[in-house]
Amino acid sequence: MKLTCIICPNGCALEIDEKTMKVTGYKCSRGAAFAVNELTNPRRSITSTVKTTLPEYPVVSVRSDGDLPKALIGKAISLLKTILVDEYLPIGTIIVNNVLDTGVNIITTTAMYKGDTRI
Amino acid sequence: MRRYDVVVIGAGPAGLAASRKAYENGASVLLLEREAKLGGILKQCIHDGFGLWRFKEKLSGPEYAEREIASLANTSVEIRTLTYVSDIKKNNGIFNLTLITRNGIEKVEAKNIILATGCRERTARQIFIQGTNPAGVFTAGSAQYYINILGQMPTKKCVILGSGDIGLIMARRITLEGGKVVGVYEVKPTPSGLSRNIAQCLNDFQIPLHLSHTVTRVFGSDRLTAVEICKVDENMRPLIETAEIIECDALIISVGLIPENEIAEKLNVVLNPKTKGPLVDQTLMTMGDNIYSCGNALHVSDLADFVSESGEIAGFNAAKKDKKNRDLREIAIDKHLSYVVPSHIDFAVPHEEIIVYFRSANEYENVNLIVEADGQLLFKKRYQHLRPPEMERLVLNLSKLQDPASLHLRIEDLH
Amino acid sequence: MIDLVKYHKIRRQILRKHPNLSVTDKDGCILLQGELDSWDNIVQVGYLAASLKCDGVINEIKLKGYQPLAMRISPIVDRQYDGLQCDVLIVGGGIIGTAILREFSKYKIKAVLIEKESDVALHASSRNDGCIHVGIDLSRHSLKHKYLRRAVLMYEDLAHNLNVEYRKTGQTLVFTKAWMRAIMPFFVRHAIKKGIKGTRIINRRELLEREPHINKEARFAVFFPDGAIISPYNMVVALAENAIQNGAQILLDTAALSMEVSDQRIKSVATNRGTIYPRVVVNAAGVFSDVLAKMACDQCFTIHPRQGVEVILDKKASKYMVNSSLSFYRGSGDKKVHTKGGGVIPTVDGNILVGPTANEIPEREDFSTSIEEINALITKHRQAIPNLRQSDIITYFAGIRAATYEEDFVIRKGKWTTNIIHAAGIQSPGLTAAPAIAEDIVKFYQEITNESLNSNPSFNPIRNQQKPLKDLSESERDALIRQNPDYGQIICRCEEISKGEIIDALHRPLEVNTLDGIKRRIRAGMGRCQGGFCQPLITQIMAHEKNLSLTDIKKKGTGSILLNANKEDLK
Repeated sequence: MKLTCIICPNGCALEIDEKTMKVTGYKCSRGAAFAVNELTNPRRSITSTVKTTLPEYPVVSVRSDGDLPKALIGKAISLLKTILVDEYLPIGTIIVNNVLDTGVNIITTTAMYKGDTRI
Repeated sequence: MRRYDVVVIGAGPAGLAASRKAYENGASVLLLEREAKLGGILKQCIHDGFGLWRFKEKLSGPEYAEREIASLANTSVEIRTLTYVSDIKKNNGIFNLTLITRNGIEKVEAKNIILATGCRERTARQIFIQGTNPAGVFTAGSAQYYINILGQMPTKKCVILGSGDIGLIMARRITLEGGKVVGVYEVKPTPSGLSRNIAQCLNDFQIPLHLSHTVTRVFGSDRLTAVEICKVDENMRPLIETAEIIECDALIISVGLIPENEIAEKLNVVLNPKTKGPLVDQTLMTMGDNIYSCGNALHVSDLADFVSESGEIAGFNAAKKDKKNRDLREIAIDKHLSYVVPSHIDFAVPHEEIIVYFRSANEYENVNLIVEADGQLLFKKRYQHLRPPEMERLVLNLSKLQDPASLHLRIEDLH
Repeated sequence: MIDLVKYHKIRRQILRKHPNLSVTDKDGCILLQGELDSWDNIVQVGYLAASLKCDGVINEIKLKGYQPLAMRISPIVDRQYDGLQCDVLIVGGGIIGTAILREFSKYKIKAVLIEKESDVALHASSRNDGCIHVGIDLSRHSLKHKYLRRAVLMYEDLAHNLNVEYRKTGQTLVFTKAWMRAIMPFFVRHAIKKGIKGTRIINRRELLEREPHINKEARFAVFFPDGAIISPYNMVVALAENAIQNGAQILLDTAALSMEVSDQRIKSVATNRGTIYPRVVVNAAGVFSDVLAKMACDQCFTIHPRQGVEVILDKKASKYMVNSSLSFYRGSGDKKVHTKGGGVIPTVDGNILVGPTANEIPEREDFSTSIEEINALITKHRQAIPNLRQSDIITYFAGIRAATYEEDFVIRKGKWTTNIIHAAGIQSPGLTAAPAIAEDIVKFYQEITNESLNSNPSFNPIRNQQKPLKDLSESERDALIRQNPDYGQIICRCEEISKGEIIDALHRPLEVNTLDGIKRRIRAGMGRCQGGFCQPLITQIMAHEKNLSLTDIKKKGTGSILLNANKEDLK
């Protein structure tokens, strides 16, 4: 199976033999591991926004601090849509702990200040 | 009127890094930003993948920007937001800037200018999309702002024209927000964005990528109701007989970025028609003395990490006190290369560690990049793949060269 | 009265070519009915009928197998203006309608203008080249000539009072055939006799000094120093605002749908926002002026829409800079083409406009462009300016001329219906002729009502409008910013427009409630990035100023919501 590694900007073109699990085309060990994972247990990070009650921020950007199983992405995104942030949080604040029991947290990625202006 | 050693125009990642580096090298620095907040376009790039090279971490755009902003905290870099440079002139070696601010019109002077003004998106008009002019045509960047900053969706069902990175990122973003992306259409026969974005933005969501296709017409008088897609020939001309109508309510356009160089042009800085950014030497000084260029205004980069590096190079050099007369040589490139930055080498200043960025003109497999001076081989590097959308970075050591007559960069096929 | 001999001759000509048509005399007008399978043929029959020179051509010939689109109307339906009474109801908010409204506002009279779009000047009035013509090629017997000659004497003062930039660039007609130089003295004398003052011949040397970028094959030119340029939609907005300031009313999103006509009088006008009861109706309805005339039982002319495409080039394309409105003389070649052939024209914003083309089409509101037309435009005008390049095009648009078969204005009182006045069939030089036409409409009103109007004692001819701040001196600009810091915050960075100017534009006498309305008035979003950076900011400013949510903001009219997806629509 041919695939592109998404771990780093190199985007190496990998190839993995589905029977032997042998990987070719990687330039680092993370790439080799990525190819195996893609076959057995594909994982992705997620980035999105969640709504706030704060006038300065209609939404605040968030991301997962690790990779989630690809199959759970849809559910995770739906979960984020139910969240409402109501405080001015610093970057990196955990707003969802251990999302969907994956061991991964969702953290804020934009610093929020009272009185902040966009225009 | 205050006079600064260095005035940096633009506080995106390039300007932030340039300011810090210039300060660290002893310059008095004024950093100007026309928006209310620092960080440039990174504020709305909430996806991750930033800083993999620079910080060895996978950060989102806003986090990357915040790192750079935080690094200015204990410096004496003077930062002014909501400040717009409306005019700039050079008189007797000093730059006079006219600034429009909420407090009135202000004048400042600078010994050196660093242009970190970023880039803008190519518009629908510039690619001759015909038909009507309804609501629903967005550049990928504006759609990104609406969704990521304002939390509003500009579409329920859209077509994306252009497989540049922003378009790919938006394909994923719109899909995750519940919108339908009918497909990504690319006029060239090969994709314009990074391979890993094709994988994680399109393949992951089964969004089809149609190469050698373009949007020719837009329908709808008030709001977009459909677009017409055509296949194109080898010269990228639409084949009318293949026209297909796709119902949708938005056309998202991601067909290229154009460096913003209005200020450079005001200063009569020579631009490279290939990059649309200024010609520079390895210190990132343009052909205009003491005018530096970095970031996307110099040439459109794929990675914020490279943008920061170029900002640092410019900042470091702009802060130097006694500058010698330049001894420039142009780097000639062959037709297999689209461009090389820097375009010139200044032999009067250190040239043992020259950071070089280049893009190939076409896709190549198994080739050598060759650097020659006066016909002598200086440097060779093997590449398994070279693709125009993927900019390459090299470090060249030209210290052994004294006074070459010519410099050449070319690609050699290994087949 | 119809010239019967000529009528029968033309009738025979038409029927010989198209035996299935019906050609009849309708009380002095010539009525054409039937079906043809080519639009060009329908137009040609119309022209043939017009050569009769009777009271008008009513061309009802249908295009086989084709159903024209219904007139676009705002989806708003309510009774907001139901029962409204007024002395004069002007239908149409283009240059003609607003000029007439402003003229009426000089008097003590209740004047109301209804416009079916969400802003004034959305049809031909914002889709033309902004030339104030000298009237080179107008027949002396035409109404075009009559009104233009009067209007050119008043235009500069009018523009000055309304604070609309008026730039006298002159008009240059370039000739490439040296032999024509010999007959130029006759041409010049003829022009001067027609009233075009200052007309003179320019020799090749002077021509190339004035216009260094034109085709070197140019041999000489005729120069008309009084030719000028303005921003046409800004002129319409200025007239509209001044009229409102002087007591007139403009109702947007309001379309005339039907009229109650009895005893040869219009009793009421039904709109999508209620029924209005005017004493007199003025028909300034542009491409729909014949439809409105028919609604009033007074159709004595027919509009055949003629589309024109124009292209705008980047300010920086100084290679193609022309200093005057320039066109090349193309000879009497194709007499059937009723257009000067267009030219290369500077705009007051510093851009270059090339065009327009001319295409007879059956649709009255087809503003779509095509790549073929744009390519054809560039190719054609490269003859004039050899360096013209597609890559310098920043935008393009199409407009529809409201042409009658007589190819002249229809400025007259109703033929059958007594309380209608037509200011219809307006094409070039409508922008120029408007102020003079307006005067006559007021005159006709007084004749119809048999009353002379009293002056409006508080009429103020001056409309105050801040010049773009970037065009002021530094000290003026600085002073304004110190009074209002919003003037120092640049939102549209391509055109250097401030937040204060955007807010001002949202609080003008004629309500602005679309992003395009802001764009037209102050150019925010018209620069090189075409709103890529500023549109989201302007959207927020607009929502804030008008106390709307972001999802209420429209680009153009109702139905052009920008952010159109609510949570319920998405999974």
